[in-house]
Formats: sequence, structure tokens, C-alpha cells
Amino acid sequence: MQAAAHMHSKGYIHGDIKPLNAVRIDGRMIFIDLDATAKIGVDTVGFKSSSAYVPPEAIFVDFVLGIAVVRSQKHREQSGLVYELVLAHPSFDVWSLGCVFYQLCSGVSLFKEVQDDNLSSDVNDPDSLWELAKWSDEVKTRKLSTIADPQARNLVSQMLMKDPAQRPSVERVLGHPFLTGRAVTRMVGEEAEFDVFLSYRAASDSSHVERLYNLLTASGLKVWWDKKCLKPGENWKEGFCGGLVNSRTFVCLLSRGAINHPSIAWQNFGNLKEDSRCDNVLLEHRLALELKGLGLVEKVMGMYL
Amino acid sequence: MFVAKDRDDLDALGDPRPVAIKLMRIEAQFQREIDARGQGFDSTFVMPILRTYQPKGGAPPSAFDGVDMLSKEEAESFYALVMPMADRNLFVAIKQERFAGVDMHQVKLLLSYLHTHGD
Repeated sequence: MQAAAHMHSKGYIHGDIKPLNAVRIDGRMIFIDLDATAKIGVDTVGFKSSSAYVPPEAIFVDFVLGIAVVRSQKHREQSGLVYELVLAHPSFDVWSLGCVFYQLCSGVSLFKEVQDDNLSSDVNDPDSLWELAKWSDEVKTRKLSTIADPQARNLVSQMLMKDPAQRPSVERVLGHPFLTGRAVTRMVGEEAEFDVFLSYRAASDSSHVERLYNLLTASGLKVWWDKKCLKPGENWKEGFCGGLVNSRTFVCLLSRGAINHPSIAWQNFGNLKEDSRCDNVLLEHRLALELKGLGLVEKVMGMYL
Repeated sequence: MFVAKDRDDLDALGDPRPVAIKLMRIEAQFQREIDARGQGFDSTFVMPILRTYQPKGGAPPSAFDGVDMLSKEEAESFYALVMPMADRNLFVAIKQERFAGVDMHQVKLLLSYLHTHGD
């Protein structure tokens, strides 16, 4: 993982990560075979990659012609077919690492290769390039069910997202609870405990938020409101963060009074300066946006009174 | 990949140091391996190249998969990369050490901590 992170930090991907291309030397795993290395955002990939370890977007399929191949400049020129090539991106390596990780956690390879880490192009083979190109949720769920450890399964699931934009960076993989051993409130893909997290300025909007809380809970939603959900003696920062991580929707409530407070300087927009103190609503809003980027929070909504 | 002893590089006991030699037929692939090392990768993460050799002539054997040993002439008909000898690759480790799917602690070590905590 660190070797991939190192190459990505230098602006390159390895392009052919697989068990044969990671060797142990002096107790460390390092990469060999750099002839598929590609510059991120500049070079195209696929010309030397082993198809059992490439992501679905690297496969070109044509149902009419009955062709399933790894996209590459060389194949495109030789075949005369017209299709888009894949630009080098760290998500390509993350998929390959996900395949290796799957193998390490389950004891079997994600797809059964026919030869030299390459998949069959036989449309009737359940481990063929056709299956990889489809990579349905059903197939993914079935394959991941062989991983017993739930945290490991969660991490592999993220690394093997069909959409490359949804795969985590290697840095984020290294920060996953499975590898760090950190306690975790909720992992990506797990159901949230609360539907709504309420963020507000207590000095001005407590009565508004109480009314909103009552309306939302009366309609059957589970709502995180500090007055009800923060446990006695609980560290309030951890409580707020835990509540937000465990919510599907972030609602930030701001009244006219909250932005024009007569005596609290940082809650009066007319007085805001670059070095003004940051208050809880802004911090929670920022955290909510980060969690939305991770796929934990689904919606970030503002409510202005 | 072939294993050899480098008579020009002796260890502390005066024995030739073991090295791995990657033989290649295609010049472009050989050049890509060399060019990739020019990007400033740290040898802590990427296998360095100790020496390179151009073919000295003669046609390389048409197939050498599964071949245990090559003559000097055969070996010199390839492009060659000489690299430090590794213990084993991950493929072999999975097959022989049998931790995959069994020992998650070992898996975690392999994935995250190995380079900082040692083996």
C-alpha cells in the first residue's frame, strides 16, 4: 500500500499490481516490473496490464462482434476498432490492490485467470472479461461474502467500486479502521442510525430547532439533536462528530437572529473578519461536506429563517 | 526472471552477492523499466536496478518459460536488468505460507505496517 502511495505521490501509477509483482526484500513488500508504469492524467493504461487485476472500465466489450479485451492503444491500432482509452489514474491501482487484498482476505482470487494472470474472453466463462466488464452488485456481494471480517469486507468493497471516482485513495485505504485498528462509529456502506442531524446556534435558535425536532420526529424520522442525544458526561466534540457520522442528512438551521447577533461578534455576519472565531455550525457544516464526499452523509441542507 | 551470483559484488564474507536477472526480448519494455526508475522513486518502495545489459547479438531462444538455466550466449542475446535478490514474491508467499483467508493479522502487516514495523 505504501509503495502505491509513494508512486502516486510522484505522479505515476504502477499499472500492473498483482501478487507476482510485489516482492519481499528485507522484510518489506516492494514493487517490481515497472514496464506498465504510467504518468497520471497523461499516459493511457492497459498495454501491459494483467487482465485479472484491471478494473471494469479498462475492458472493452462489443456484443455484436463478440469481443472482450483490455483497452489499449496497441489493440486499437491492430484491430481498427474505435473506443476510448483509459487515462492513468490512481483508482486503477486501487482496484488492482483491491483484487490482491480480496485474495489475501478470502484465500481465493477475485477472478480465476486462465493463464499468466489474464482472464478468459469466453462469454460463457463466469470468470471472463465479460463478467469483469459488467461487475454487477450481485456478483460483488456474492464474492465479498467469502470475507469473514466485516471491516476487511467493507474496505475491499470500497476498493472494488465499479465507478472509479468512488474508489478511495491509497491514503484513505491506509486510514481505514481495518488497517489502523481505530474504533469506528460507522463505515461507508453501513446504514445510518439517524435520518437527520440538526446543526444550529444555541444562543439564538434553540426554540426553532426544538420545533423542527418535534415536527421531524412526529413524522417518523430519527433525529440527532444534542439536547436529546448527547449523553450526560459525554465529550461533546466526540458526541457531535459521532452523531453527524451516524446521520444521513445534515440540516443547518440559521435564523436572522443567528447571523445578526447583537452581542456575540462571531455570530454577526456584519462583523466577520478573516480571523473571526469559527463557531459550531460552520465546523459541523464543513465536516458534513467532508462526510458527503466520503459517501457517509447523503444530503447537506440549509434552512434559513 | 533468473537468479545469479554477482562476482563483481561481494558481500562482507567475500561471497558473490545473489541477484535477480530479468531477461527481456522487447527493447521498448526494457527502456520503460529504465525510464520508470528515472522518476525519483524511492528504493524502499520500488525495486532498484543495479545494472543493465544490451543484447550482444544472436537471436534469443524462441521460448524459455520453464527453462531452468541458460548458456552465457543465450543469456547475452536478451536485454537484461540486474536487481537485488528478493526473499520471495507475494504470489509464492500466499501459496507457501498459507495465511491468506486465515491469518488476518498477517494480512494487516502485509498491507500496512510491514515497512515501518519490520517483518
